[in-house]
Amino acid sequence: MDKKKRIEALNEKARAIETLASGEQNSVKALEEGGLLAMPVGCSTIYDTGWETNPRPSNPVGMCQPSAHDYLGCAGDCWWPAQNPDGMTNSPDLELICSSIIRDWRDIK
Amino acid sequence: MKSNYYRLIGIVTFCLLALVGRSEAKELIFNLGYGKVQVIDVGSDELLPDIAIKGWAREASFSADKKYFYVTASRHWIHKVDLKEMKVVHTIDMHSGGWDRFIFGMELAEDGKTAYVNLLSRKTSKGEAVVGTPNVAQIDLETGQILRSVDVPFGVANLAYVKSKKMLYAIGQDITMIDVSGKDMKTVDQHPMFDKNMNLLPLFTYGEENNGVVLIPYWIGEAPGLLSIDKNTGKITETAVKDPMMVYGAIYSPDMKKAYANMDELYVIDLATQKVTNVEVIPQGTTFSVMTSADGKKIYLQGGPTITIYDTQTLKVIKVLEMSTDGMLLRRITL
Amino acid sequence: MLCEWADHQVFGVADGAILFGVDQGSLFFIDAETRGALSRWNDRPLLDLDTVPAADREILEGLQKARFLTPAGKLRKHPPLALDIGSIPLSTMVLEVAQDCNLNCTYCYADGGSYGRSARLLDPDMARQAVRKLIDESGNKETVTLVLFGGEPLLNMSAVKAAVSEAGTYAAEKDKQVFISLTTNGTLLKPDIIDFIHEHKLAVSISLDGPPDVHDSNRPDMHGKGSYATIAGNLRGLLNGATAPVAARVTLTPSQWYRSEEVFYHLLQLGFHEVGIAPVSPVRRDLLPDAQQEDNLLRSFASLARDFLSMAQLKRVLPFTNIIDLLARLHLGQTKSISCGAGYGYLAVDASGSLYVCHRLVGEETFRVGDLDDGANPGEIRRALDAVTCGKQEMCSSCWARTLCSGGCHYDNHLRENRLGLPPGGSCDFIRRWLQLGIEIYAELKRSGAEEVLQRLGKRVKC
Repeated sequence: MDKKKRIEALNEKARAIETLASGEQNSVKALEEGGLLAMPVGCSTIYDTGWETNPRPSNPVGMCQPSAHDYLGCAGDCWWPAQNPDGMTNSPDLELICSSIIRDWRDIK
Repeated sequence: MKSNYYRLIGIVTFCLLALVGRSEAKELIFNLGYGKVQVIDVGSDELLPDIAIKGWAREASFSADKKYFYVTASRHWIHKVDLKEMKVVHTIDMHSGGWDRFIFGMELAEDGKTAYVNLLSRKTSKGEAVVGTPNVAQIDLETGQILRSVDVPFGVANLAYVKSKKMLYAIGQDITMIDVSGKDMKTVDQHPMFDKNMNLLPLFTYGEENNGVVLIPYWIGEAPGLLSIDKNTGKITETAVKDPMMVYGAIYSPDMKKAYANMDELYVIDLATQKVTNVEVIPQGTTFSVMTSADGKKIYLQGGPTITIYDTQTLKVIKVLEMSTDGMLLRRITL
Repeated sequence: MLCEWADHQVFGVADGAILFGVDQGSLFFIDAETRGALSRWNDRPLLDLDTVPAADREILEGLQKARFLTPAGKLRKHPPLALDIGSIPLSTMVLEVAQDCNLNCTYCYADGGSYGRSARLLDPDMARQAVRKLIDESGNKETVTLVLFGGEPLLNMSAVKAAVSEAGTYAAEKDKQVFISLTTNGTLLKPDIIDFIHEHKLAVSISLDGPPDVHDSNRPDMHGKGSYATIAGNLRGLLNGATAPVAARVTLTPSQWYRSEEVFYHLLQLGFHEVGIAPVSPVRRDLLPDAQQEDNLLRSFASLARDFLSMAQLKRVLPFTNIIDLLARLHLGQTKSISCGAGYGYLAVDASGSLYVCHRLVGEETFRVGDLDDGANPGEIRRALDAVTCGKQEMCSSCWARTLCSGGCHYDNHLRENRLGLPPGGSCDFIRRWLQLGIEIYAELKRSGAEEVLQRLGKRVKC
C-alpha cells in the first residue's frame, strides 16, 4: 500500500517540476553508484566546457593556448566529443586527417 | 722489418677501428606523435629520421635491455620499435574477439615477453552498446592474447609497476594495488584519493628518466601538489606545493632537489621548501610534456608541433624545434 | 544548506492545502503535515535546512524538490519582459464596421456606438484593406482572427460582406486561415443575414443579458423599449442549423450581480452554446460596485463553479466561459507577464481606419497608435500601454496573483484611474478572490479525477 503522497502535483506545471526533480535524482544516483556510468574515459568523466571557456588567472589566460595545441590530443581520447572529432569511435584514424593541426589543417578534407 | 711494420700498422688500424666501432652513447628524446614518432638527438638538438607508426601514439615503455621501445597507438595498437633499426617490427591489436579494447596505461612485465595493460572495453550487440568491466590484463606481447586479468574500478588511466613488491599500481580516482606475484592477479590494497577530494590527471608520466619515480600533479580543491610513486620501493608521497600552479606533468632534476612542471608556463619547484621559485611563460603556448636532458642541463617542453628547449641554469629559451607532428609525450633514453 | 523561499500562496482545504508556486504557475496539493511544516518555516527569508529538525526537514526537502525552496542566491527574479512590439505578428483584429447602433444600452462604453465621435460606417474598401493588413502582418501564424464589431456591425452589411469575402480570397492566396467572429446585439438578425452567417461559418456572440427584465432594463432601444423580445425571436433561426458556435455575452450591473446564476441558466436554456458573464465596466461612477455586490458576484460564480464540478463528474462541460478559460489556464500552469494581448498582436480598427490598442479603447486619443495606411507604430503602442500600466510594477510585484492577472484590463484601469480618479488597485481584491476560487475549483476537479474534462479545457487554450 503506497504511502499517501505528502505533496501531490496537480496541474501540468507541477507535474513537469516533479518529473524534473525525479530526473535529477536519477542522475545523482548514477554518479553515486559509479558502476552505472559505464562509458570509456574522456566522454563521461570529463564534463569540461572546453578550452575557450576555461577562465584561469595565469598567463596566457585560458587553457591550451593556442587551442590547436590541444586539438588532436583531445580528439584522440574523446575529451570533448562535441568540439572535435572523437578518436574512439567515429574518427579512429586521426593521424590520417593530419599530423599537426596548425601546419596541416589545409589538408583536411 | 717489413713484417713488423705491417704488424704495427695492423695493430694501430685495429685500435683505430676499435675506437670507431664502439659507438658513442646516444641520448635520444622521442616525441610520440600522429602517424610517427619523431626522434631528437639530445647532443645536437637536431631531428633524426622519423619512425613511422600507424595511429596516434599515446604511451611508451622501454624494454629492460634497451633493445625495444613499445609504443601504444590509437589506444589499441602496441607497436614494437627496434631501437637499432628505428622502425616498427611488430604490432599487436587489443581490438579482438569482437571487443574494442582501449589501453589507458601500459607497463612491461619483468619477463620481457608480456605486458600489463589497463583496458576499457566495449562492443555492440543487437544495436545496443555493451560496456565491459574495466580490468587490468597481462598480455602476450607477441600475440596480444590476454593471459590473465583482474577487475578494477572505472577511472584507472595509468599503471606503475613496483618490481620490489611485484605489485602493479593502477592509478585512477584512487590507487589500486594489484599483486601480480601469484597465479591470479589480485587487488590487495587501495591508496585513497577520491575521498580526500584529490583531483589528478595521470597521463604525462615518466619512469626510468625520473629515477624510477612516477610524478603526478594533483589538486585538492585549488591547492596544488605533487604525487610521487616510487617504482623502486612502492612508496606513495603527496607533497603540497605552496604556490599556485596549473600543470599537466612534472619531472625531477637529476639530483631530485627540484621539480620542473609544465602547462602554459614552466614552473621550477624547490622540493625542500615546497615553493615555486621560477615561472616562465612558454612563448609557443600550452605544453603537455616536459623532459630534461640526462644531465639536467636542458629542459624540453612539448606542445602542439613545437618543442621549446630551455637552458636549465638561465631559464632562457635556447632553441625551438618545429616538428612535423603534434605530440603527446616525450620519452628519453640513452643508448 | 542555505535556502530561500520561492513566492507561493497557500489555500487551505479540508485535508490539507493547495500550494500555488507563483512564478512557476504550479499547483500542488499538500497534506496537513506539510502544511504545518510550511507554516512553521516559511516566515524566514533565509533558511538553513541543516538546522531544521529531522521530521520537518524531510518535508521541506520535498518542498525543495517541488521548487518552493531554492539554494540561497539562486532565486532568479525575472525582469519584466521587454518584448519587441515591432516584431510581434498580428493575430487578432477587431474591425469596427459600424460606429453606430440601433440600441441605447445604459452602460455602453461606446457612447451609444459612436465612441464619442459622430456616427460613422466603415467604408467597404477600407474593410478589405484592414483584412489584408491583418493577413499581411501575421508573420508565421497559420491562423488569424477577425472580429466584426461596432457599435452594431449589422448596420453595415456591405462592409461586413466585403470583409468576409476579402478574408476568404486573400487568405486562400496567402495560405492562411481566418477565423471570423461577429459580435452583435441580435436585433437585426433577419433570415438573409442568418443565412449569410451560416454560409460563412461565422462564430456569433450575442449581447443578451438574461431574462427579459434584466436584459430590458440594461438594453433598451432608442425609444426606451426593451430589446429582448426581438432578439429572442431571431434566436431560433440563428441556432437552428448553426455552423459555428453561438455564444451569449452578458453584461450585468452591480445591482444585478446577485442574479448571475439565474441569468446563466436562462441563457443556457435558450440554446446558447456558451455563456460568458462580464461585470460592467464602470463608465460612470454609479456603476462602481460596493463590497456587498462584489460578494454577490463571487458567490454566484462560486455556485456556477460548483455546478461545473458536478457536471465534470459526469464528463460534461458546463459552458460557462469565465470558469472554462480560468480552469484551462490553471491546468496548463500558464503564467503571464502582460495582462492581455492589446497591442501585442491584437489591434482594433475604427470606422475611419485608425488603429487602437484594443476595441474598448477606441475613441480615446491616448490609445490611438496609427492608421491602416501607415500601420501601427510600435513606439505609439508602447506609449499607449505605458500610459495605463506605468508605476504599477511595485504594487504588482508583491502580489501572489501577479502571474495570473498581470495588471487586469487596461480599459477598466483607465476608467477607474483616469476617468473616475480612483487610486489604482481597486479591483485587485476582487480579482484575487476570483482567482482563488478558480484554484480551489481546479484542485477539486483534479483531485476528483476529472481528467477528461481537463484535457478538453487544455486544448481550448493551447495556441
